[in-house]
Amino acid sequence: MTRLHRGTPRERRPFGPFLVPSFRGAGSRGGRGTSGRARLLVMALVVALVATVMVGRLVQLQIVDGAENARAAADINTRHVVVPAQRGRILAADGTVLVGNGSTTTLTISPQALARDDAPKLLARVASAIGREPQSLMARTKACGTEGAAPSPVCFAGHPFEPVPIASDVDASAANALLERPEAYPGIAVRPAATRTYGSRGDSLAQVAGYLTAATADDTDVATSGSGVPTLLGRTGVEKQYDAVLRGRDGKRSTAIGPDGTAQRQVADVPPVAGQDVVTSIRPAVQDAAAKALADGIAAARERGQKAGSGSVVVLEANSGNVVAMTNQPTYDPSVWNGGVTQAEYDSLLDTRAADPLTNRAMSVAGPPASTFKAFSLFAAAQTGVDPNGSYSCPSSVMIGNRSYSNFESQAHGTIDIPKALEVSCDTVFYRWAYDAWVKAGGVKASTDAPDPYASVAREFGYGARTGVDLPAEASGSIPDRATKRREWEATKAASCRRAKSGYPEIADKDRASYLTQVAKENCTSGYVVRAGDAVNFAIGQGDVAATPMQVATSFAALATNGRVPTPRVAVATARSDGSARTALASPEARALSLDARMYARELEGLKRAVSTGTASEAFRGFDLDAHAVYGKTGTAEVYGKHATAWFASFGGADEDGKRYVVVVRVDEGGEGGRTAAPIARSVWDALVRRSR
Amino acid sequence: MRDLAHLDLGLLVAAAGLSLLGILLTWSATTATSGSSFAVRGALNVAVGMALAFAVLRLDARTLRAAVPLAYLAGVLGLLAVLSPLGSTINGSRSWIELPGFSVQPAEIAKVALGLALASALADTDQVRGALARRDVRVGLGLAAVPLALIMAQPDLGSALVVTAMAVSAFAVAGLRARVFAWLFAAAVAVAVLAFTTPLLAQYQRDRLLAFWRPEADPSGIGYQVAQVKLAIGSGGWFGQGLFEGRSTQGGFIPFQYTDFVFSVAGEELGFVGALGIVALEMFVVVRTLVIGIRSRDAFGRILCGAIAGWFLFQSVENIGMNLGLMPVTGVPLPFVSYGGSSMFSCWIAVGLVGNVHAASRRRIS
Repeated sequence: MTRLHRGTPRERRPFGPFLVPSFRGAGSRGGRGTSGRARLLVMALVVALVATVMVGRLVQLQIVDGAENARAAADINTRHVVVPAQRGRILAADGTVLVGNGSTTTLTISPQALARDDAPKLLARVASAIGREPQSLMARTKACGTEGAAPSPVCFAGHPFEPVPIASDVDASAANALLERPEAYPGIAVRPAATRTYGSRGDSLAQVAGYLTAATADDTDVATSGSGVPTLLGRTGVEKQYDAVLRGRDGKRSTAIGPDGTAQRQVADVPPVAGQDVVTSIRPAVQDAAAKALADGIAAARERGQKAGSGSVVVLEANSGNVVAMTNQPTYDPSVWNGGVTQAEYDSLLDTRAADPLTNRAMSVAGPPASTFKAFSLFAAAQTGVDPNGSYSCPSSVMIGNRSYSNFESQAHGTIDIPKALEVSCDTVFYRWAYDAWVKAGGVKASTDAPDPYASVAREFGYGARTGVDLPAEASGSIPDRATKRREWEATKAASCRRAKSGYPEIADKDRASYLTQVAKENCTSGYVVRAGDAVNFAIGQGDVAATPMQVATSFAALATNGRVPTPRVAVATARSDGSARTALASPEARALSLDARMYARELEGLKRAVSTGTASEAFRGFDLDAHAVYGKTGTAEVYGKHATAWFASFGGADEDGKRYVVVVRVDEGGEGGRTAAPIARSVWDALVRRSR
Repeated sequence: MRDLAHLDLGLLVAAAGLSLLGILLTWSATTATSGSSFAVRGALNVAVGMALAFAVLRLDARTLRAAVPLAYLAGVLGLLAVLSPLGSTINGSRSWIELPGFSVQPAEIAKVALGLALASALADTDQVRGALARRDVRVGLGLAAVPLALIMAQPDLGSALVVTAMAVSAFAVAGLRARVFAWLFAAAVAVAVLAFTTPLLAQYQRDRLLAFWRPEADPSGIGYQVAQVKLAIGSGGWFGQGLFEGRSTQGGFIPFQYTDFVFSVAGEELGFVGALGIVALEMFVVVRTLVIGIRSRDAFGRILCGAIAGWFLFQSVENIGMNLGLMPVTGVPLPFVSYGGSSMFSCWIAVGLVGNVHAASRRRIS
C-alpha cells in the first residue's frame, strides 16, 4: 500500500531512493507542514555535511597519516628496557675459562639528587659510610667532556637521565646499610654490575684478552640501554676483536606505560641472546710457563744490571699459526676495569715512567729484530749468488766506505761456513754480502726501483706488514728499502734541513751533537739515499728495521715449515656456554714461499747449532735436544744510549702429534739475547716438551 | 505482530547494530581490567533499552501525548534530585544518582522529557506566516530553560549542549522567524565569550575545551587523552589492529575509553572500515529519524523527530568529533555505542518514540 502514497515525481527531493520521503499533499495545516518538512530536509543536508567532514578526518588520520600515527602511538605508550645479554666467555684450547663472568655491587646516585645543591655533602656522607675518598666519588659523577670531569673512561659516559655510578665493588653490607636509610641518602641506589672474572691468568693474558668499558655516546653502532645498566663493549684484545660474538644480542622488554609514567603491562619481550664463548688456542700450561719465565727472566736481567723495562713472549703452533701463548711485561690486573675504573687505577695504568701495561707489546710494538733477522738475510744472500756450501771470512770488523763495522764484542772467527756463521752470529760475513749487493744495485746512485734482495726477502717472510693476527692494533713494523726511504725523506726533509742549520745546541755531549748535525745534513740533502751503512745494518736486523715478536714468530714458523708463512690467530672456534653449537672459525691460508733448498738445509744446521753449541747453548744446557730438536737464533739489538734489546727466536719440538712450535722472546733493554732471552724461551720449551710427553 | 508490521525496520536494525558494536567495543576496552563484566552489563542495558522502546512503541498516540506533562515533570524532578544530597559527584560533575547496583543520570531522562514537551507545546500553536507566535516561542524557551539551567548547575556542559541542540532543532522544525534565530545565534556567541572570560564554566571544562585547541597545553590531563585518542585512531589503518588487539586500547592508555571514547576503540581495532561503519550507522539513524519526521502528518511527530534527530546528530558529531580531535572534549556519549545505562535507555526510548510516530502515520495512512 505504501507505493500509493509515495509522492509524485515533481515533489521528489534529490535524496536517492532510500531516503525519499513521502510527500502526499499538505498536512492538516497546509503551508506550515511543508515548511516544517523543508526544515527537516535542511537538517538532513547538515547531516550529509558533518558526515563528510568526519569521514574526511578519518581518512586523514587513518589513511594519509596512518603510518606516522602508528609509529607515534608505539613511541608514546611504551618504554623499552634493554635486558643485557650474558657476555660470552673466553676459553683456552682445553676449555679452561680464561675470562668468565661475575657481578659486583655498584652504588649509583640519581641525576635529580646529583643536581641538588647539597650533592657534595651527600657524596661526602656516602664516601665516609663506605670508606672511600669523597674525591673519588665526585670524579665519577662529572659527564665526560665537561669542566672538571675526569678523563675517559673514568668520567660519566651515560645518558643524562641515567643513574650515575659513584663507587664500584662496594661491600654489600655497607651498601645495604645506605639503602636502609633513604632519608639520609636520597637518590642513592645499588645495582649489580656485570663484571669479568679472570682466574689466575688475568695478568698474564691482560693485553691479549683485552678489557671492557661502558658504551658511550660515541659508540653509535651500539644502542645504549637507557636503563642505567651500561652496555659494556670490548675495547682491546679478544674482547674487542670478537665483541660481536661475545656480546650476543641484548633483549628488549617493552612495557606499556600510563599517563603518569608507571608501568602498566608488558607488551613485548624479546629475550636476550647470550653471547657465544670464544675458544682460543691458548694452552694454559704453556701460557703459565711463558708468563712465569718472562717475569723471572726480566727479574734476573735486572739483577745483572739491565734495565729490562718490558718484554714479550709469543708461542705459535707453526703450521696453523695458532697462538699457544702470548704474554707481556709489564702487565696489570684487568679486573680494575670491573664496574668502571677509578681515577687512581687509571692513572697508575698510564704512569709514563713504566712501559704501557695496556699495550700488547708482542704485536703492537716493533723494534730492530737484530741477528734473528740473519735467518732471512741468508736467503737474500743466496739470491745474490752466495754459495750455501762456501766458506767465508769472519774478521772482527770490516770497513764499509769510510766507517768500520765490527762484530758484536769485536770477536773474529776466522774462515767459517754458513752454519757456523749462524752458530756464532757473525756480523761481518753479512756486512760483506750486503755491501756487495748494495754496490751491485748501484750504490748511492741506485734508482728507487733498483733490486734490493734483502728487503724483498724480508717482505716475503712477512716483515714490514701486519701478520693479520686476529687482534686489534697490530703494528706493521718497518722494512726501509729505497722506496720507503724516499717517501720518508720527502716527509721529513724540512725538519732535517732545519736541524742541519741549527745543529743540536740542547745536547751537552759535543761529539754526539756534531754527529747528529752531520746526520741531519745528510738527511736534508740526500736522505732518500740508501747508504752502504744502511744496507749492511739492514742485513743484521739493525738500524731502521723494525719488527714485532709476532712478525718474528710467523717468519720463524715459515722456517719451521719449509716456507709456509701462517696467519697467526688466537681464536679458533665459537661455542655456546654449554659447549654446544661449536663452530670452528675458518683458519686463514698460510702463504707458501719457495725457499732455496740448499741454503735452507745449511740454515737449519746453523740454527740447530746455535742452540746446541752456539750463542744459546748456555740457556739450553740440560735440554734433551736429541729427543726434541730446537732451532734458534739469538739477537741483540743495540740502540744508541740504551741497553741492548735481547731477542731469541726458535722453532722445533716436533712431538708425537707432529706439531712444531715457534717460541719468540723479546726483552727490551734486557741485554744479550743468549743471556736474557734464550733462558726464557728454554723454560717455555720445557713446558712444551712436558706437554708432549 | 500488528506493532511489528508498523516498525521502521531500518531504524531498528541500525540502532541494534550500533548497540551490538557498542557491546563488543566495550568488551574489548575493558577486557584487560575487568574481563567480560562490562560487556555483560552493556548487553543487559541494551536489552532493557529495547524493552523500553517496545513499550513506548505500543503506546497509543493519545496516551503518549497525555503523558507528556508527567514525563516533563519527572525529568525536571530527576534533575532537581541530582542536585539534592541524593546526587553524587563524579569527575567534577554532580550528574549521577547512585542506587544500589547501578546509577542513574537524570540528564539523559530529561532529554526524552524535553523532546516530548517541546513537541507537545509547539505542535498546537498558532502560526503567523509559517512562523511561531512570540508567545509560543516564550513557552518553548521556558520549557527548555528549566532543564538547561539545572544541567548547567551540575555542571554538565555536554548534556547542556545536547539539550540546547534539541531545543534549536525543535524550534527549527516548528518554525521560527529568521530574526529570532539570529538573536539566538548572537546569544550563543555571547554565552561562548562569557564562558571563556568569566568563571561561568568550571576550570576542568575550560581545560578540556582548550585541550582540543592545543593538546600540548595540558599534556598530562585532557591533552594527553586527546593525543592518545588521536594516535589510537590514527594507528588503525584501513582494517584496524583487530578486535581485542589494539595496542593503545589493550594497553589501557585511554581513560574513559569505553564511555566517551569508545569510538577510538573502533578506530584502532576495526580501522577506517569499522569507524566509517559507525559514522554511517549513526548518520543513518539521524536521517531515518528525519525521514520519519518528514513523513509524519502531524506537527507533534515532526517536531519530536526533529528534536530527537537534533539530539542524535549533535551527540554523534560532538562525540566522534572529539575523538577525531575536531571538537572540544565534553562528556557526551556516542548514542547506542558508549557504555552507560541511562544513555542507552534514553536512546532506545527515543527510538521507541520515533517508531511510535512512524506507526501513527502508517496507521493513519492505512
